[in-house]
Amino acid sequence: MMPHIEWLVLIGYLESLFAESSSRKLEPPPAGPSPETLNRLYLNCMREHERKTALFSLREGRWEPLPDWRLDRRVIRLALYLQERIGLSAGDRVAVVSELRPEAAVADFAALGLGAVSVVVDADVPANNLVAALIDVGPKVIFASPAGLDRLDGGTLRLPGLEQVIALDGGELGEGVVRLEAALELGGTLDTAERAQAFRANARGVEPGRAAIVHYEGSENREPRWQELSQGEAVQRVEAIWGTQQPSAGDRVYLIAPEFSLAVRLALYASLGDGYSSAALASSLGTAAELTELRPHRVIASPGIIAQLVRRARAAAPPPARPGGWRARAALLFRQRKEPMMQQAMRDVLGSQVRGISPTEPLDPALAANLQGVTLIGPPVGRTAHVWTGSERGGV
Amino acid sequence: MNEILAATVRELANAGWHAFQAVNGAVPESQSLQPGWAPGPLLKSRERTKPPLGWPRETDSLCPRCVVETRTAIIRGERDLAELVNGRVGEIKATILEENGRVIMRKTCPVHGTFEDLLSIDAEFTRLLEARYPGRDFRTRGDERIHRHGTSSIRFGRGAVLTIDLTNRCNMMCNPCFMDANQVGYVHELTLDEVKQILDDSISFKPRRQMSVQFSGGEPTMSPHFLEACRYAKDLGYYSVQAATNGLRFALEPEFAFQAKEAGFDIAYFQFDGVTNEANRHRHISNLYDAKLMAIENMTKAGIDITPVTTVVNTVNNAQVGPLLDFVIDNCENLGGISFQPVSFTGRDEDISDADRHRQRYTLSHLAHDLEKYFDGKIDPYRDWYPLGAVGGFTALADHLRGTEVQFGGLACSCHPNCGSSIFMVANRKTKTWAPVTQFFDVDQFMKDITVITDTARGQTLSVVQTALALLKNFDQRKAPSGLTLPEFIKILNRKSGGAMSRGKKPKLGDWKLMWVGGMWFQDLWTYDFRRTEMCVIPYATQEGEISFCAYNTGVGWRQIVENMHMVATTKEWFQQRGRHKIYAGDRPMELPSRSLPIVEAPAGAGAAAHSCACH
Repeated sequence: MMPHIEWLVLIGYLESLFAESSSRKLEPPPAGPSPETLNRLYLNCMREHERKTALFSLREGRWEPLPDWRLDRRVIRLALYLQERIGLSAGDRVAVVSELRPEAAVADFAALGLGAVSVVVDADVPANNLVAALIDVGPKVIFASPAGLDRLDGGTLRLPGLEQVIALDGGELGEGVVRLEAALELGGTLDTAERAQAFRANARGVEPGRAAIVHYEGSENREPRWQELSQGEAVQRVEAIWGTQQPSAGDRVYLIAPEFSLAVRLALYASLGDGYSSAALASSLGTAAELTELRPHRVIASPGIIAQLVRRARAAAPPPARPGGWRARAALLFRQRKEPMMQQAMRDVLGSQVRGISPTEPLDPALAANLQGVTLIGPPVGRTAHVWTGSERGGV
Repeated sequence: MNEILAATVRELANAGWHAFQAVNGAVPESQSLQPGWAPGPLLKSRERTKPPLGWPRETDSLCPRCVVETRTAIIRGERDLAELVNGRVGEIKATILEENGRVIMRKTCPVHGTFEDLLSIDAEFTRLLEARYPGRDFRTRGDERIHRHGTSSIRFGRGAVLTIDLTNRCNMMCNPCFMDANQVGYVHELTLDEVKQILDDSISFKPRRQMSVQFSGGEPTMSPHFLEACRYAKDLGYYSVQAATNGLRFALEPEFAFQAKEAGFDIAYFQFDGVTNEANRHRHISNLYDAKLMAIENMTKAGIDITPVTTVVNTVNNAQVGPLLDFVIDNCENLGGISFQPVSFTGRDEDISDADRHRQRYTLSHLAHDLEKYFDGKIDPYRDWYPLGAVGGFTALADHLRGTEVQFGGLACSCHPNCGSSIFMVANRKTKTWAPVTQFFDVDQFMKDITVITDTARGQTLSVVQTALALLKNFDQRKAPSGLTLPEFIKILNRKSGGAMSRGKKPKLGDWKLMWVGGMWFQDLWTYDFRRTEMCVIPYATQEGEISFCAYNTGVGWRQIVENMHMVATTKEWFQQRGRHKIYAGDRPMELPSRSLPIVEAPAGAGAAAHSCACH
């Protein structure tokens, strides 16, 4: 093989030139006036988009596409169910006790469309803290993933004001728990043109100043801490993310974070809302197989996950070649200049067509320095939001 | 100069064809291909069977009174369904004969006496349609589980439009209604799993069919599974996904039109009764025409093709057929043709008096003559109309050219020549110039040429050469509408055949398009002919297998039996458990979303229309 290394290097170089020249033309973030509210952002992108898939999620290890039409119908049907059967209305709170998954996004948009406040509590929160958080929230409806449902005990299910718990996925259901599919089924027959349009009209009418999304940020002295954004604030944050990333029609954005954090949530809104990108919701830690199959164009990950990806790339990168003659040394120099080993390894780890990584939070300086020249790192998507404890504001 | 060149090309092609056939005729025929989808080698013309045609002839029919009595007894549980499957309930012999230049059906029931009805006002027109019928398709095989409806079973062909009623709920309250939607007192609605099973079953036997799926109802867009059903049908590989719809959902919710298109919905078979609000008054929505225009606008924006469908009743709305076709031509950039459906007295109309029935009876021959009159002879009943089954000849050629690798047989509408007839027209999207294809293209001769090509079965390359020669020699540039050249004509034919002449590569849409004007005449108890039902191309796919359209809706009336067997709730229970849906009725206007500019203008002189229905 060694005698042909020049040719390999040359081919690699030509390939890199070709890859550059054939890369898709990037398009600006959605033009036009700001949607002003999260609801309008959602409705606009459902009506006009240039993509086949809004969300990818993992089902039995394979990426399953969720097109816009299916997502939107689910959101409308769930909203109609919540409105007609549970009486959810503007100002009410729903709690989403879940990890990042498409059903949680459906619940989120349905609640927001009705003008309700959507409070996300990651499913990994310890049971005691979860109960305290839910008491603080006082939700009318709780959406829970199987992991979240495991942490809800009988006491939680008897919270004052709580009308219903909706299980986002299969598994054993306790008393008073309804499956999301059953709610969608009932919502399906409520889904007429008139009701769907009324839902859209109401959702559009929700004011920018209305509280929209709230996130559980842990506990301090047994008191839950929250982050809250209004409809308008959330859109401003999304637009800030658009300012740092250039979506292109057909982009796949790989979202990976061990927790369902506010930053991930905003990144999800940004991806869905641009109308070009498909958001792929990774498994909690992400796997090489997921990335290989998805081949994302952009990655949004927590700093911890980025560190893991770097470690994976480092392990995969070939050891530094020992100088073995002038040709090998020259080839090594040439290759290092055009396509550094680590950069190539990182590209391989991320599925070969990634354009850059955005951390959900500011990176540790050491890690940031480590990544210098390896891959394009964007600014963090989750800048600090106002944080307060429940007692400061008298609950959420 | 162009005309001289075109004439020269035509003569050269004619000479080339004859030279080719001089050799071709001397060589023994090759064996036909046997694609995987077919139950045997592709049929040569002599292997195609035909039902008894011409008159006088005897056929099997139904007594309009015995059938209704038996059906009612089965629904009440007083008689066993097996009688219908194993016996010949209500069947009597009928004679089809010519009297005073008209064709009639006459039959006598030993209990209920003699019944007579009109089949055609022009025996020569009907004789021509029958003469142009190229023969039946394959006999079906391996379909015992799907076609199990006794003498009503479908026995021939691959079907053209698989109809599936998603729900009997509707958002309108028309009077009359084909299926008595909203008023039968129960809800019959398929689950998504049932829809999937039906679609899977439908391609489980041979010939494996390249059909269009048509979701119907009720109003199919009322089903919560409409979009998912479209997606599933598309994923399975059906040729196109259609819905027989009143269009209200698309008018009220533009997003739904885009979502339907994304989900795989291709064509709206669109209830369209007339070109003014007045002409739609019988639907009991005072601004229905405005709603229809809005639906057309929204569906067009979303990229959904639209075929208006109008049920025609003599002395009620037969004067509308001309203005409606005018409207379609004026809007040919958005509309692909129009389907006229001469009235079939069914549902509550089974009780119609003899006098009313005779007065309102409308046939394919009426349609041909009404259009001839309206367009001052530009549409010629004897030159331009072909039986729907004539398309089977073109399908034979397409199947031959597409080879053995394809998964499905081509779309073959090889129904009985008495079931339907059509004209193919070309129209220019920009100038609105139009002409029947038969004005400038010798279809009779071309069909004979096709027969030679498919019978001799010389392989793809030689068949394409022969097809090209046949197209060239039968195209008369002098008679073509201004601006339509032979290459353009070949392009639109190729596009319509899904790119059969260019190895599956579909040409881009040009200025000219092919339009279809159809007459689809469904049977009723007075005109029923079992020779027609056994070769039905519009099977109704149900939880009880696939049933001929007429056996399901009109003749034996399997619809009522199947729906009663599989109803999901009484209407009252449904409303209590699932909520009510809005029904537009009471001669009030419906509230429409604001819109910008109308995309279509109504032609002047619109009259009244009645009795139409979205569901055929």
